[in-house]
Amino acid sequence: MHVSYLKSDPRDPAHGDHYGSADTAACDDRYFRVLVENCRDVIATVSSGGEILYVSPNVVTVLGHTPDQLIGCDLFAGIHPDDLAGVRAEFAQESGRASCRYQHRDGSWRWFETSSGSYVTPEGVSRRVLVAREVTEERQTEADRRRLESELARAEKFAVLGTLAGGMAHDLNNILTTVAIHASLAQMTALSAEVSESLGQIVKAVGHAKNITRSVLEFTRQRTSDRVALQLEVVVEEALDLLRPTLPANTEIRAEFGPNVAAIIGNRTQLHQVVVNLWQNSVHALQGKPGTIVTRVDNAAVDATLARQYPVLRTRPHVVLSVIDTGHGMDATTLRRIFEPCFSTKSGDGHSGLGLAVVERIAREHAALIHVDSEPGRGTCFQLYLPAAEAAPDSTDGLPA
Amino acid sequence: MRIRILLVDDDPQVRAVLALSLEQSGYTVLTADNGREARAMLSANPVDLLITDLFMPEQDGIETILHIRKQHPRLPILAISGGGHRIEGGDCLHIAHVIGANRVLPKPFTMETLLREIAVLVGAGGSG
Repeated sequence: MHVSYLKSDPRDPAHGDHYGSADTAACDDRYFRVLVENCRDVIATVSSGGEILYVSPNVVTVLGHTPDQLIGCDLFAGIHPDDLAGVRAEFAQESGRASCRYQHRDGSWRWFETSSGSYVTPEGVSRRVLVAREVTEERQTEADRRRLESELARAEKFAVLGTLAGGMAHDLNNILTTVAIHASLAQMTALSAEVSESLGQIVKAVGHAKNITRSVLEFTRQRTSDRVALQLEVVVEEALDLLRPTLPANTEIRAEFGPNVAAIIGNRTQLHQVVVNLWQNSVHALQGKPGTIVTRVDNAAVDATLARQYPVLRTRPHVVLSVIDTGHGMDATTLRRIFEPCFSTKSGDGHSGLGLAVVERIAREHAALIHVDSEPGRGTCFQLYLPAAEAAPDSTDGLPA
Repeated sequence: MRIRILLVDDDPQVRAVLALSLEQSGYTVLTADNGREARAMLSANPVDLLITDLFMPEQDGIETILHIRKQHPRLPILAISGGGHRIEGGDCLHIAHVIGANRVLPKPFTMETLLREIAVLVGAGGSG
């Protein structure tokens, strides 16, 4: 890199003046080289056509590519299609800022905030200098925070709805009582069979109304009273009986159970839902191609790696439900988002977007842990770790006392 | 002598229709629209049965049962409720059981059902 063209930068006379001072000696090639090579942001020089001419060595830590792999490439080729327009617009101006995603060598997209300026070489060629700062984590944190806020808002809305529904049900039930009692009173003194019959219908209608208010209340309320000790294997078998006829012929689905699996405390209906939603996910992942879905229920064997990631697994025995498919798998970016309500992968595989959000909610209500392993092209393994109802005989493999 | 019932419910229509139907069935009915009034009435007028709604303003019904149970340990209590509050009708009636109601009845109910419950507790109306 040369210093001379900075001196003659036409857009910034002040800048040029500065470098025309006696301090020039301190700002020679070596100074700038050290500066650029130690900067934590990625610095690149790009031709006016977008060809990468230089990129600072730290690009390998940030994007996984070495400078050699990038030099000569088209800058725009690595930019996320949705962000291209913005970057091109910024490029068209002499200087500016942009936000965009650039593809890491591993395929994931990383967020950057860039600042760039133009200059002209002594030979009169236009060049662009780009300084790019990675902000992927900040963006993720921001996204997480927004998601949490909206979840809280939704929970609050539900709480309000619940209170409203509750109040309404109370008043309705009082009114229904009045109707029912008057009708049955009138029935006692009814002068004709028809009148008596009509009044009987009124009483019946009150019975229906009672059912409706009760189901609205059930919907908006958590029924923790419906938890029982149960064997997860039985839940899986029951769900399998229902689901098997609906599966495509080329999908093999089987259940495997470990020995002496402990019981868990849970809501049978909700756990059915979890199993069915996970299976539906796997079926979608298979995309109609032949494949296997294996469902396992075992006493959880917690090795050191797992215990480090999920310390709670060491505190008591758990039962683990695993749903393993040989479908298309998911990359790291998708994995981060699958439990978001209404998130669906772009491949348009027919996800309603709610299935996994429901699984996550039910897992939370059961104090269960979700662990997902997936690899694009290889398949996915969903695991749910549920606290055991009582210590199972073989559940303490490797667990400290 | 007619069996005397104290009916406590904050809804005036419910009070009116239940009082009417119970009187017609041979019971003498006193009414109160909140727990405090009910406790005051009980000190002055002995009754054979207390029928009380549960979720009146400020959870009066539960407190009412608690207090009255302490002061009148042998008084039969029938708890009725439309539920719908934080604790759904079913569960709050369970609580009523626990704190001292002899029987519980979720709203809405027919006269037939009500009379049957009362008969179990104090016998049929119109008899001594």
